[in-house]
Amino acid sequence: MNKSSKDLEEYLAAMADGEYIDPKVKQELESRLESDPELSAALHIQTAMKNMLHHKHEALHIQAPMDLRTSIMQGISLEQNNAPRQVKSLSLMESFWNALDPIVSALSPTFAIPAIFAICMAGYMYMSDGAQSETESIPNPSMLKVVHTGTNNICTQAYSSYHAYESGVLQPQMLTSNQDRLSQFFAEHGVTYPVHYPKIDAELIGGVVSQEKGTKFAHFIYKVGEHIIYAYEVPQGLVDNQTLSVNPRAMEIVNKADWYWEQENGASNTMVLWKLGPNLCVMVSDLRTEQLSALIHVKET
Amino acid sequence: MNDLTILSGESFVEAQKFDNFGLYPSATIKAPMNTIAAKQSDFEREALPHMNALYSFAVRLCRNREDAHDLVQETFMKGFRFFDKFERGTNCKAWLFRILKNTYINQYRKDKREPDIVEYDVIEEFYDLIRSDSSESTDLQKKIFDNLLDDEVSIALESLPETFRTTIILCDLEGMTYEEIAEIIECPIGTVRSRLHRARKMLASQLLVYAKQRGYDTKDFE
Repeated sequence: MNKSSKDLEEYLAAMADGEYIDPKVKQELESRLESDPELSAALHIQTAMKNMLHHKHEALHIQAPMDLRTSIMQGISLEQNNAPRQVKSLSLMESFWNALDPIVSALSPTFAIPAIFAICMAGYMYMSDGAQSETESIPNPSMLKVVHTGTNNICTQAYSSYHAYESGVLQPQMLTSNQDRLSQFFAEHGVTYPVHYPKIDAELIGGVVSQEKGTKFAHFIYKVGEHIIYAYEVPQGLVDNQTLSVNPRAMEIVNKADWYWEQENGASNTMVLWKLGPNLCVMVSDLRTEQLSALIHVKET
Repeated sequence: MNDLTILSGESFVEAQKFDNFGLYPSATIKAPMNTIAAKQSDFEREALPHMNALYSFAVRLCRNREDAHDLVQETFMKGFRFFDKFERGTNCKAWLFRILKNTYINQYRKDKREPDIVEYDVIEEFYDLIRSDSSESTDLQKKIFDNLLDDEVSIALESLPETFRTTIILCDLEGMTYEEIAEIIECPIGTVRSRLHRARKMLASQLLVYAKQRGYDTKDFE
C-alpha cells in the first residue's frame, strides 16, 4: 500500500479516537509511527486536543437559559391545541358529505359526477380557507401567556407591588443587604415560614411584609444597576385558592418545565414564577427575560 | 356509508368515506386522538433531555445566544411535528442535532454562502513548526494545552471554520462517534475523519498562539 506520511496523517484522528481503520492501513500506520517521529508527534497533537477538550468539557458547556424549556413546552402545547382541529375538520367533512348525500341522490348519473366535482372544489376551498385562518390566528409561542385574575393571585400581587415600589408608593420596611437580618425582620413581623432567597447575581436592598387573610408574607427587593427585581415568596401550601391563588395553567407549566416566564401586558417587564424549595417565588423585573434568567443560579436536576 | 365512528376507549377515529360516490376507493382514515397526548409525553421523555447539549452546540454555531435560543426552539418544534417519523429506539440525540444543523443552514446562517476557506497553507506551515522530533515536547504540549484558559479554548474553537468547528464539537465535546457525526452532517465517515484531523490541527495552532501570548516558551516546538 505504502501511503505517504501525508496520506497516513488523515488516519491519526481515527487512531486517537479508537475508530475503525482498515487493518492494512492500521498496520502500516503503526509501523510508520515507530520510525517517523513527525508522524508520532502529529498523533500526540491529535490526542492532546482530544484530551484537552474532554477535560474542559464541563467548562466549555454552555448552559441553556431557564426560559428555553418553557418556550419549547409552550410551543408544543400550541401544536397540541391545534391538533384536535384536524378531528374537527373531519367532522366538518362528515357534515359536508352528509349534506351532499340527498342532493347527489336526486341527480341523474350524467350530472352527478360534474356536480360532485364542483361542490367538492367549493367545499375544499372553504375548508382550506378556514384552516388558513386558524393557522394565522395562532399566537407566537413566546407571546403565549395566561391571565392572572383575583386579588389574591400571587402574580397579580407581585405585579402590583412591583409597580408600587417602582413609583415610590411602596417603600421597603427594612433596608438591608443581609439575608439573615431580613429573615429576622420577617420573623419578627409575623412571617411564620422560612424564606428561601434565590441565588441571584443582584444586590438585596430590603424587604416588606404583606398580609392576606391574616397571614403574613415576605417580599424582598433586589437591585442590578438601575434595574429592579421584586421578589415575592409564599409557601406552596397556602396557594390553595383560599388564602392565595395562582393561575392553574401557569402552575402546570411550572410543574412540567420548572419555570413560567411571561412579559407583562403593555410593558417590557418580565415575570417569572418557580418553586423555591417548599415555597413559590414570583419575581417581576424591568430586566428582559434573557437578562433576568442569566442572573439566577440554579442547579439542574 | 358516510359514518364517522369514535371508538370508545380506542385511540383512533375511524371514518369510512366516499363509498357512495365511487369517486375514490373505499378508504379508512385513522386520525390519532389520545396519541397526541402520548406523542407529547414520548417527545418530552426522549427529546427534551438533549436540550442543553443542543443549546450549547447552537451557541457555538450561531455565535450568539439569542439566535441559539430561537434555533433550539425551532428545532424542537420541528422535532415534535415530525416525531412520528422518528424511529423509536434509534439515536434521538443525533436526529435532533441533524434537524438543528439543517435548520441553522436554512434559516440562521448569516452568510449562506460562507465558504470554508481556510488559510490552510499557513496553518500547515505553523503545524510543521510545532511538530517536534523530541518526545519530551509531548509533556510540554500537554502542560501548555492543559493550562490554557477556558475562554481561550472557547474563542479558538469559535474561530474555526464552520464545518471543522461542527465536527470537532460533535466529536470531542458531545462525544459522538464518527458514524453519528456522519449522519448529522450528512457526509461519508472518511470526510468526518479528515475534517476532524484538520480541525484539531487548526485548534492546536490557534492555541499555541495564545500560549505564546501568555508567555509560554514554545521554542521546543519550533
